[in-house]
Amino acid sequence: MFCPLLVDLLRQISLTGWFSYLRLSSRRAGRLSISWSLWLSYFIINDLGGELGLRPGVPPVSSPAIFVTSTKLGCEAGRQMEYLAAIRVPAMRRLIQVSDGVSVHLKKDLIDKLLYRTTMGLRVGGVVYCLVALYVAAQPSNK
Amino acid sequence: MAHQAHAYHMVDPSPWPLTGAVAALLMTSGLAIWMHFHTMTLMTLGMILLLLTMYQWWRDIIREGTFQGHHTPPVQKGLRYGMILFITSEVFFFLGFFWAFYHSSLAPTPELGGCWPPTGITTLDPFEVPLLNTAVLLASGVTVTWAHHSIMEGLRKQAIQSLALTILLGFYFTFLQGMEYYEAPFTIADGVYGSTFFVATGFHGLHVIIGSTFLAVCLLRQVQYHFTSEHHFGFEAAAWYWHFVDVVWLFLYISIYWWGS
Repeated sequence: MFCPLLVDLLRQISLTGWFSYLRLSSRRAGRLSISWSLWLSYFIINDLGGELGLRPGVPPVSSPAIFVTSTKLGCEAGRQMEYLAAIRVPAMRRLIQVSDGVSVHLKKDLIDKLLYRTTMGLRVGGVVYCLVALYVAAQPSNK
Repeated sequence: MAHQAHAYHMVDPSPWPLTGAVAALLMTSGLAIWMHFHTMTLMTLGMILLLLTMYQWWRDIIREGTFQGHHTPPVQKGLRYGMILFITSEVFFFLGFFWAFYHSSLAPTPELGGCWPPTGITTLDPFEVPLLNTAVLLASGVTVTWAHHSIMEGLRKQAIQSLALTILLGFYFTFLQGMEYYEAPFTIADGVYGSTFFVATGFHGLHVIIGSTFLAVCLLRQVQYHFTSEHHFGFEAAAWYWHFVDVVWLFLYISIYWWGS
């Protein structure tokens, strides 16, 4: 999950640094460096400028709500590129909101039951083990 | 759906408070058994039970808030009060350790040489790694604020990046502090200086790890689209906790590392 994120961040940092270097060197080096820097500036502005607000003539505005809680998700999702993960909140809502009288800690049936029974088993076993251990520890030593 | 005529949350019966209490029993008894009989089984069992309890309890809170919609404004207000009170209790926890430090350092006994730092103690240079640690935590305070503003403005990519950077800075702090502990010229057994130093900074380090974990969970939730630009209290609570950890470090740095060296 973190690899594309780190790659993206490193890409931004390295491109910005390279662009700054070329911009400085173009004053001395002439037309070739100027064209390189222009190409990079075009690349940076178009690729990253949307989110940084650098697109020429467009003020930095926030994109429409990507975080969805309403039923409008279905039509809005098509317009938004899903970044890093698919939107599963509506499906989870439909699953968790089923009105079947089951408590929230058992709503997902199998996995919830498994975890619950493991936890309860450890709890009961742990209490018994603890009481036995404390009883043994309370016995006077024979030294 | 629920048929309630009020905005409050009547929680479903939950087994997790009981399992949490049993975990606390097993951990404390297990600690005593470990110290006297050199067996870690009971304490380990308590730790596993604690982890299971924390995971399932907080998973249920996410289900109730994000998926069932129970976290209405009045409910959120209660959660905010709860987090503020919890952080206040943590402040008092650290206050005790600062009290111990100042009690010993303001009037050093003849056994210490009548001076602070005590005779024979080589202190850490406050302008080396400790200063770097201060810069790292202050920077993480900036990045977590950046993350908050990104979430409020609906900038998903920036929110994820800034939150990830905050967590990385937290891990970097923990790594640096671990190296300092390894290289330190004194130990926890070196009189009251060692005790106050390692207990205060050690508990702070534990809180950094807890705060980093809280932020990591928020990062996972942010990636899964749980937060909206108006409703993201889980993240706010993590950010409050992180700022608290940062402030405690500043007090530690000024008192123990700088003034105390």
